[in-house]
Amino acid sequence: MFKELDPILHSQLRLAVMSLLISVKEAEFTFIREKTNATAGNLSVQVQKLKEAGYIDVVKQFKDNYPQTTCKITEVGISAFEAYVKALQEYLKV
Amino acid sequence: MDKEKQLSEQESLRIIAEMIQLVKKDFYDTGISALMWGTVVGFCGLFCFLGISFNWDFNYFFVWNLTFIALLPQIAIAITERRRRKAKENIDTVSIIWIVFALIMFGLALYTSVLKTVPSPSSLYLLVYTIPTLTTGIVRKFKAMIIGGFICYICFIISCFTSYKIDMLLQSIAAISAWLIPGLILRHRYIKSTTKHV
Repeated sequence: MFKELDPILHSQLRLAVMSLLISVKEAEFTFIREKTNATAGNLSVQVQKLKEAGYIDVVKQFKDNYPQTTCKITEVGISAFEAYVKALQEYLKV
Repeated sequence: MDKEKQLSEQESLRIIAEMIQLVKKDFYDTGISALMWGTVVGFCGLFCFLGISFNWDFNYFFVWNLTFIALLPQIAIAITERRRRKAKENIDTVSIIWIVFALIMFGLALYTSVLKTVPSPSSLYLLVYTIPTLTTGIVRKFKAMIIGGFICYICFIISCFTSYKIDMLLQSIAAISAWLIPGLILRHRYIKSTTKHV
């Protein structure tokens, strides 16, 4: 019996964001936008969904008088990502 | 990557691999620090070798002071790199080894050149105790061992100025802080975890 894939993660942009954040300690919103080639609007929506799921923490602050948004994966997010990858491996038998 | 679309399992794996690769590319070392230290230390060693070989009649060992001067651009490079990056890297084991190495080099510089008199060799043992204790503590995020590592280092600095008798007392303090106390904590955790499963 295959596990159902986490619907929060089983989306192109959200999965890309989580894959980026799992590899770093934390990343600025602009960094994620550059790497994913997403528009700021769409990325904001997806980041918000990940935040609501408790998968990431979002910190908004000012750096050198400019607003800066930083995202960081949470423990819940790490567990969800690991479970997602494990489920994928079961599907693909890798 | 804007529109929501149904992903296949293969596509999911491809996205994960692609993003991890993108991050890796962003964290390639510029190599500037390695180039600088290789040049400075290489030059100093060669300079002293020539000084000894040709019996130069001046204190050619002063050249090693360049390593202290080289610390300034190293700090500037580290700050610039940190500001430039839009993502913070997870601290990996290799970085931790280099941080501990820098601490040990500073200690050795104190031991060999800064002090007028040579401290007892037992000081060096205290410095060596710091290496595995601090590295293990940071890698495993075990606070007791991080504190133990720093206590070893502090004991080393104190021992550079104390007699052999006091050095022995410092050895004892270092060993208790670095291994006995963390060991007791680990043992307590282990017993707690095994009794849970009975």
